[in-house]
Amino acid sequence: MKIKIEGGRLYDPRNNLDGEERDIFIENGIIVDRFSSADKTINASGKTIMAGGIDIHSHIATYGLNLIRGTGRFYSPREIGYIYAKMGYTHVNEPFMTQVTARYVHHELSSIPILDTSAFLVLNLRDVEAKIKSAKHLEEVEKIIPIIIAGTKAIGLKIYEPFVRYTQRTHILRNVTEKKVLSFFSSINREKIPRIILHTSPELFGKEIENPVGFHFSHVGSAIGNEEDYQKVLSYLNAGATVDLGLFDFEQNLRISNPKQTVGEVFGRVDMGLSEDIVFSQGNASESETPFFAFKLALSQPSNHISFSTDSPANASFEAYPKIFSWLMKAENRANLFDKELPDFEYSLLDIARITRYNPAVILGFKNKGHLGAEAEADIAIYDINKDTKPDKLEAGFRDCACLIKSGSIVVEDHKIVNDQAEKKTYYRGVETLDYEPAKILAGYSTFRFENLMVDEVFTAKEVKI
Amino acid sequence: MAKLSMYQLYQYLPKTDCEKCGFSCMGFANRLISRDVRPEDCPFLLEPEYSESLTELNRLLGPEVEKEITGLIIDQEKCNGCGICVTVCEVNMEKSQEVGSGRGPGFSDDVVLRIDDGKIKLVDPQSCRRANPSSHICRACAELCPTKAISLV
Amino acid sequence: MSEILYESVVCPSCGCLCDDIDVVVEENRVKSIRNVCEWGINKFLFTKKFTSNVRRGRVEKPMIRGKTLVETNYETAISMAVDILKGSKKPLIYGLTNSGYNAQKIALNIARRLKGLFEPRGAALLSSYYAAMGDSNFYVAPLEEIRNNADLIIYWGCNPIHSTPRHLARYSVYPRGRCKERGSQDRVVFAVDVAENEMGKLSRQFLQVERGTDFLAMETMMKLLRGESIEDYKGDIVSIENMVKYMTKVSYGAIFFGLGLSGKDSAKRNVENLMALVKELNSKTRFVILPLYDDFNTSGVIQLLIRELKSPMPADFSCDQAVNHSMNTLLENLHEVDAALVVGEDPFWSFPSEKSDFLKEIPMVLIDPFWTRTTNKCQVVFPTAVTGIEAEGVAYRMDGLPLKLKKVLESEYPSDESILGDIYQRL
Repeated sequence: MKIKIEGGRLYDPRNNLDGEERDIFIENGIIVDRFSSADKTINASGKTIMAGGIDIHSHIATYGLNLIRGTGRFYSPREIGYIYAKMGYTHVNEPFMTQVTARYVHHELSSIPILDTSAFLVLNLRDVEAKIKSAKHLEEVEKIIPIIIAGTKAIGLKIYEPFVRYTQRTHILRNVTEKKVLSFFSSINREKIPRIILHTSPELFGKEIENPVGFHFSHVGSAIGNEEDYQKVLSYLNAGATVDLGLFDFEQNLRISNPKQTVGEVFGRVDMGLSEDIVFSQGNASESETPFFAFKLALSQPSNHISFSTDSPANASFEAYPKIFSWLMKAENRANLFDKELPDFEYSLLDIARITRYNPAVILGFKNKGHLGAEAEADIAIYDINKDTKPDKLEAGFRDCACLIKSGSIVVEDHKIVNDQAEKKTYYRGVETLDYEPAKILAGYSTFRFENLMVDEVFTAKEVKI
Repeated sequence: MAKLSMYQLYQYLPKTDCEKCGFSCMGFANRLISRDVRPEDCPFLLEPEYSESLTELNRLLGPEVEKEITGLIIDQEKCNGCGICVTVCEVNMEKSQEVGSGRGPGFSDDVVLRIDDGKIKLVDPQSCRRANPSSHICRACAELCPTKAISLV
Repeated sequence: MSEILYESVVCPSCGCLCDDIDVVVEENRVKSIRNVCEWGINKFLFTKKFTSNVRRGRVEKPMIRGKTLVETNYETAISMAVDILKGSKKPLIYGLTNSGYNAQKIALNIARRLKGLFEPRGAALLSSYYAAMGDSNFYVAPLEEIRNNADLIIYWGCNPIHSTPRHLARYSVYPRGRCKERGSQDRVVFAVDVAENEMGKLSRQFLQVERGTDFLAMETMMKLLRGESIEDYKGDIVSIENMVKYMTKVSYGAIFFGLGLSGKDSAKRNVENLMALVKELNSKTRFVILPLYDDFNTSGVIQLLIRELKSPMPADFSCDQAVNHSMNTLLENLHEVDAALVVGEDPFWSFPSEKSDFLKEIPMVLIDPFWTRTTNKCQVVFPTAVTGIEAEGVAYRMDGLPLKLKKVLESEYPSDESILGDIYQRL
């Protein structure tokens, strides 16, 4: 179907569009320069048009989440797809997928309607402990990691615990310190593994990172406890690292964390093979100064290195994004959040497009997502807001987009979901061949054979290799 | 198969130590257990007065079974293919990286014990630790078998 | 005819889903098969469980009932099945624990569209387990982590040697793990059951309890953990004391429970108490708990129900919204249904007689590869390919991790997924 969107104001950092009025032409699921006769024309005059939102960090299919869902405390896949679609999002990235849970995560992601998905592979460093102790295995690891990323259909590598730590006395010799791990992964060739995601914990700020370029600090806002940490994050950013924000909404939220960071009621724990269990709990995690610094960072210097996130559902559920956007955009909306003074900076619509569309797309490595230029995927959100919208109407505007087009088909029309069968894709980072004998060490402590650890296409939506 | 003791069998032997079979009676009993000889190898037992002893000995020893050079006897009826013996066999572990962690050996891995068609099979008796008299006597597979399908004599 | 080797096939027999099966196929028959247990080989050779010399009879043609069951063509059978289901006010969709995930999903959609009752096999115990999670938290781990870390394994109300033969060797006691490098020498096994069995030989402690009183033993353990008086317990108090003493000392324990706890009246109490015990133990050390499924995709149907309906309970769609019964839906509500679609299950073998007598009164549609006691009592019978051997699919292991089931044999029969799909299309 050929769709033309008329008269909307486009916000697209990549193509330097800051509210310019321009028509969009969609054919075969991608944006094209123009065509003469459209099958359908959508009038968007006075409305804001952005590329479909990309959530870089949202736990929607983490192993164990289904048990929480079974007690009614989390959204069903259908609800997730619908809520995101109504907010104008078309892609969600799951940040916690281990090797053994890869098939599970992809299968669950593929049951979420409408949204494209991808996932970060959390590498259990215990599996490669012997290899990361010294730089002499660097080349081997540079080969193994792309294979396991491709095999588990992941989009990138995430290091959840930048250390190997055994509590058992007999295995203590195998421990690898943070310093060693960070320096090892600093020196990895960035052409082979473009970006390494670090799970940001307060402890991480105490460690030196020689070369922050190529590291991405996830939900950095949940870990900044004081001015010193804050300055450290700024220095990482200045040195070329990227972050996502991890902002808060001050509600009782479901948290997926290590045992130290649980708050409120605990629902259960899952042993994922890391040094500590993953604990599911629910409570308000914003009593410390951490949220203040998170917002201070968000309002200090919006740049191409900062993406939006809330570590959903931990600091704020994805449902609260519109509220947080409205806080970022208007100082009066956030006036009562803190006793202390936040910077006066106010996000423009272009800035919002930057932190929710363009930057996440760059970090995840998408060339044809997150912008509205020709050849881009036709994932387009149209909002009933513009730069003159009153501050108290922004939240509603972002919560309820007027129209959403996903892969060229109309999903939301006139604020209602009209079709949830839009084509879904699973994006992953491919590699030429999976055949490399040393990679089999990764299956050494698995109960699965190596070939069954790899994610088959029955578990994913339509696969797209980047 | 119930475990037999040397003394249990010895009481049915003539106790003459005539060494016509080549051993003392106690030695003969020992070799009966390891299935190296049959009761019929004792000339006295073939005589009528020992017929009851002979029957009893044959009952205790069971029918003539196929014994591997390692002394391993598999009772196919009892085996349920659980694979514990495959997992605990030290030699298997040396030969296949898969085995120690509980996975079955790969198709092209040479191992000592393997589950074939749902039953345990001694694939390579020569490699078993018991085949080499100088190394220590290993009984892991038989001792850990939950259904007593493996006995070592 | 040449031999074809299929490596790393997943065995569709029990909840273990062993993924290391190597199958050699010649002339579309399994010629030899490695690493498979006795239970699994019977599945692959289509013979009876534990009596491998008896072949199971395949249903060969679709059949419908006139006076007796008569063979018919597929189209006629489908339209008769659709008529039965459409004409029903509240059909029951039952079984499905031996089907692939996608077939389960279609069956759930059939139940939703017909406003029927959807219930997987063995729901009584499972519902109790998931309901207890809400009160007592969950403590789960993939089987790899249990194997890597556990130094105490407890089998409660199950005999893995019979129900899940390779569980001991692959996942729990005997394999070497990351922190348990000597395998079984680094671990201790306890077993609890109503009668002495093979597990007695493997276990450091074997606790024999009277049928239906498991929950009393659990209560006693909890009292001991809390330092309360245990005088009123009549059973084997010495074993319990030894077990509890050891349980608090270990660094990582794993409890597997099975159908032995699913007694008619005690299932709920058993599982609730067991989960409470695990919660109590977790305040002192680290314990995880997993059910031991003996059907290969019970876990899958649970995952499906949670994803679709946010509840693992059997679903009743006859109201406007799916109402979830707490437990024992079938045994309580069987009289409400007026037709049944049974997939891969034999209710006349597994139900108590008064319940199966009721099933004789209502029209039944059966999808099953083999002749069973149920076959003769049905109005419509579909032959089908065996999922995991003759048809592909996705199944979930007992710890909730999915695996792809491969197809190693060609079959003339359609898969249960495609039969259910055809029925769903016509509704």
